Parts: sequence; structure tokens; C-alpha cells
Amino acid sequence: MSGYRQAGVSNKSPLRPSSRETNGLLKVKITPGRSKFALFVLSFCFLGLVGKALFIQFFSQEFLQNEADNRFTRTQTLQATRGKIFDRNGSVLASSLPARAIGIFPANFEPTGDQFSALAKLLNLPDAELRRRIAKGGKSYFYLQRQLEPQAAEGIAKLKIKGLDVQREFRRLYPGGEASAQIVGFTDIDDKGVEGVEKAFQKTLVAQPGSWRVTRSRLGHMIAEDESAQELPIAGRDVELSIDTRIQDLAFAAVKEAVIEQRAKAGAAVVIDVQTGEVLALANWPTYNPNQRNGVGTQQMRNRALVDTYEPGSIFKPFTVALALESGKVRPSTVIQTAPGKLTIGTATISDVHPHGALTVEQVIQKSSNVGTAKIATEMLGREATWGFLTQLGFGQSPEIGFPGAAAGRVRPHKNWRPIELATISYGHGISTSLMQMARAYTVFATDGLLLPISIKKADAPPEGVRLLSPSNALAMRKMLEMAAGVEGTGYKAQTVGYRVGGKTGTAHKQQDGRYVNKYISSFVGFAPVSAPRVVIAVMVDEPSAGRYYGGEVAAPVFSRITQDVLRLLRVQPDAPYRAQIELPANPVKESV
Amino acid sequence: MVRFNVILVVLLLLCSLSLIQSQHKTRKLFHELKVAEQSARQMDIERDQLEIEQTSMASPGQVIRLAIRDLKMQKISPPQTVYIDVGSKTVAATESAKKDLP
Repeated sequence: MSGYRQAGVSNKSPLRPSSRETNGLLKVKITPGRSKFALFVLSFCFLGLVGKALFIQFFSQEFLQNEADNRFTRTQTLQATRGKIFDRNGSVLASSLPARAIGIFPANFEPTGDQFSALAKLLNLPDAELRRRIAKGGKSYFYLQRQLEPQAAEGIAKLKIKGLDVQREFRRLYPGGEASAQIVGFTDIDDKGVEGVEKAFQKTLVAQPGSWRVTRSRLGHMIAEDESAQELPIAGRDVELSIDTRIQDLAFAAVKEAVIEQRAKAGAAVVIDVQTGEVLALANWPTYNPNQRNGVGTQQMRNRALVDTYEPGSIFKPFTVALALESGKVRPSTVIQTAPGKLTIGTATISDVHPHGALTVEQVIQKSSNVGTAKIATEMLGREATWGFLTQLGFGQSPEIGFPGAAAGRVRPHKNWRPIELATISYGHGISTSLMQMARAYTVFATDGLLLPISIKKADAPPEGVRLLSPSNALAMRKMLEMAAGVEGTGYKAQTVGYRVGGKTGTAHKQQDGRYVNKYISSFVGFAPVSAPRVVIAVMVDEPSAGRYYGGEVAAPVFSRITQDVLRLLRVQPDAPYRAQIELPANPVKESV
Repeated sequence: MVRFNVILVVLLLLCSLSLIQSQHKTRKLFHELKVAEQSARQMDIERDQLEIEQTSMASPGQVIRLAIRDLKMQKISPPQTVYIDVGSKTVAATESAKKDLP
């Protein structure tokens, strides 16, 4: 029987006793001492908890805050992108895209067999090659792979291999490819410019990464940032070049074709805008693909138009004549006797390829007479005046173009010139210049006598040139140079349909071990259209070996082709009467070397 | 007095709850902001990538090659071009266009 019945409460629910007094089973007999003891123990425990809470709140705050920060707060690097390089029309020439670097801590690197195979697959390497690279890596941290596609790196990160580290970085891409490789240059694996514009404008282009402290939730969401610990990243600034990709491409194509056709060692072309002094194109061959630089040699990387110097040869003659005109020693119609086609100075003899007899100053340029030019220099100008004019034209000084390695060329001090040297310098031997220097110096003729500063960056304002010739003498020189590039001149192949052109051919022996050898540099420098010059174009072909080597035969046709395309592209109005083809001479003038 | 205290306690509770609520909302919005910023960065990267692709594919040399090879076009050569003086402007017309001229 239940206790409830015994207590006489069977008429009530057995689960709901009326009171303790009526339920004998629940009657508790606790002595007061026990009760006090329990109260004391419980109070002590409670006080202990309060004490612990106070301790945590006031004495362990820093420790606990740090622990929380370590679990949920991270300092992260904020990546900043290197500036882009654009051409003058906004076409991208260099841009950075995110990439990843895969690093290894060898001491902790313990992949399972499956992880290892998956890693090799994502890195696109055979297992054996991956094993070899890891073995070669050494004992301290090393990069297993850099410049990896982010997608592949994400796959690698998901493998969660112990001792493997994925870092963020950038890879630089050059959509302009090989046509503009020597101008744009490239960066190293650490995003530092090592060649070309990438090097020259490193300070402008470089980016500064920042950092911030961010708190993440349990789910990995960013929920707060510590603004006091934030360093904002500074993105690199963009650089806008004066180069016009369209002109660059066609100049590049023309140079490449000429070098291949003439079986030459190299070639280069420069196009300068006469109105602004901006370099519109600077093409070189051989070249390289800046996106695939494995195995590329220094020869392919050379920006020959800027870095290489050479004896210019006959393209130099117009400067001698211009100085003579400017100093009032001659007029375009002044007659110079060049017969018998030889001129002996001391023990040396200067000669023309065949005797021309009496020539006017204009004809000296048109027929490219060495004897005529040497006579003007030695009999009318003298060493000091010639040296002074050449220095004013920028020869012997590195052009202020802001490009690494731009050559200064060589013009020896006039006091050391022997008489024969004045004569040879007058027609471009015994000094050295770069193609860029020549192109710039020709702006004196293409403008009204102003030597323009040149720029590889897009110009904001028209340049202030330095006057070296009077407008009338510059006009006279343009007329002479138009004759030289005309049907009776040495550069008749420079003519181009629709436009009047002016310019001068040059063919120079190369030097090897201090002696002239039968290897040549063929060049042509000119401007167009003659009525209102818009561009100066300089072309150089190094060591043509397909049988022809005269500038008029090798370089002038390249000039013609570039001029035709450039002027049409720049929408320059034709200034010559329409003809289906250029006029060819019955008896071509032979060029002097 | 008791009633006043009760009201204060209720107010205190409401303030505490709203503080928690606003803190939660702040974190949620901050997260959304960062997600949006990340998305903007991703779009920037995609734009850069497309810009590079466009420049590579639309380089003048490439356009000329494709026009000649696929579209059987020809480069304009001077013998095919006629220049017509219209006042101060010069208009270029091809030989075929010339035939249509009055």
C-alpha cells in the first residue's frame, strides 16, 4: 500500500499532496548546525564565483582581450596595384593582374600521397619534377612557384597541405607584345621595373601596399576594423606615353620586313611629331615577347634607336650646310667646285663616289658630295663654330627623354680635332650619335629653325624649342632636303605618293677593333609633308647583307612606307599632285659612303 | 518609487537590447560593405583582364592580318586612291568610288 493511503489522504490525487505536514515522507529533520554549514559552503562558493568574475573583469582583461584578438582579429596586407602604362590613345601597354606565389616551409611540409599528386596536377608539373624542385629548395622557406593563376592557387589552398603557403602578388602583362617591348620594358618578379619605361618611371608606377586589422566572426565574415591600425594602400599612378600604338605597329612592321629582306643584323625607326616633340613610335628589330622572356638575350632587349651609337655618315651633311647658311658664308645657290672628286688634307684623301664637278650648295646636299661638304667645313666654318653648332644640336649629350641608357654619342672637344677630322665630321664620320639624336636634330629643319625637346610621355603643352636657324634658312634647308629626296637626289626611293618629302640618305662603314670594315649602317632621316611638316622619321638598318647597302636603297624605301601610312593615319592633307607611283630617275645618282 | 524603478529597469533593458541590435546591424552592414568592396575589386580585375584581351586582340597588326586573311580585304594603296579637293578639304576616294562620281 502506498504511504499516501497510510496517511489517510486517499481521497486526493497521489501526485499532489496537500502539504508537507500531511506528507510524512517529506518531513525533513535538519539540525540548525547542518543548515548553517550548508549556507556557509554555498555562500563561500558564490563568493568564489564573484571573486573570479571580478578577477577576470579587472585583472585578466588584457590577457583575455589578446586571446580573443588572436582568435578573431587579424592584420591583413592590403594589396595595391602597380600603375598601368597607356599609349596616347588610351590603349593599355602594361597592366597588372592578381597572381599567387606558392611557398614551402620545408620543416613542416608533410603532404599525403594524394595531396602531393593533386599539388603536382594543379601546378601542371609531373610528380618527379615537383619532387626535384622540393628537394632543390633547401631547408629554409622557398617559393615553389610564382606568378600562378589565382584559380590554380585556390585549388592548392583547398588541399590544406601542412607547411604550404599561398601568398598574393601580381603579374605584369604586356598586350602591346613585341612591337613595343623595348619602349615599355618589363618588371622583375617582385614588380620592380628593370627595363624601359617600367624602369624609367618606377617611382610613378610603384604601388605601396597597406595593412589593416580586421575582426572576423566565427563564420569568417569581416565584422569590424580597427581604424587606428589601418594603413591605406597607395596604388601606383598610371603613365601615359606619347607613343601611338597604331604608328608603332606600322613602323615596327616596316622595320621588321626591311631587316628580314635585307638580311640585316638589326633595324630601328623613330617617328617624332613636329608639332609637339612627342615620340610617336620607336620601333626595333630584333625584339622579344615581353610576356615570354625565357631565353631572351640582351641583343633582343636593346633599344637600338636610343642606346646604340654609330657614325651617322651623310645624314649629317645638312647640319654643316645649315651652319654655313646661318653664318652667312654661303647661299643655296653658291657654287662649290668638287672636281676632280677628291680632296687631299694632309696625308688623307676624301673622295666622292664619282666626280660631280661644280655644284651649288643645294646640289652638294642633293648629290651627297663628300668633297663639297668638306670644303664648306674646312674653308668656311672652322673647328670651333662647327663644334659649337653640333653641341647646340644636342650631339655628344644624352637626350633628356627620361629613358634609361639613352646614349650621349661622342663629339670630341674641337681643340683636339686635326684638320682632316673637321672634314670628316662635316659628312658624319669621326663622331657618333644615336638614331634618336639624329631624329631630334632634324626637327630644326622640319620646324622653322627650332630644335624641339623630345618626350616619350604625352605632352600637356606645346614645347618651347631653341632657335638655331632663321625661318628663311630652315625653309632653304627643307627645299634642299626635298631635292635630296627627289627624283634627282640620292634618296629618290624615299618619295611617297601624295606627299612631298624631304630627307637625307646616309651610308656609313662600321668600325671593328678601331678599323673600318666592309659592313655598313644604312640610314635615312627626313620629314613630311614638306609644305607643313608634321613628322620627322628616322630609319636605320644595321649591316644589310643582301647585296644592297646604300641608305637610298635600303633605308629610304622604309621611310617612304612609314611616311605614307603615318600621314594617312594622322589624316594629313596630301600636298603633292596625285600620281599613281613615285617618279624613278633614268640615271640614279650614286651615293658616297 | 517602485514603479519608477521598474520603468527604469525596463528602459535599461530596452536600451541594452537596442544596443545589441544596432551592434549586430553594424557588423552585418560592415560585412555587406566588405563583400561589395570585394566584388568591386573583382570587377576591376575583370575589367583589367578584358582591357588586356581587347588590346591584344584589337592590335592594329592583328586587325590587318584578320582583315586580309578572313575578310579578303586589301590595304589601301596610293594607286587605288583619288584625292578630290572640296574647298579647303581634301576628300579621298577609292577607284571604285571615283566611278560613281558625277
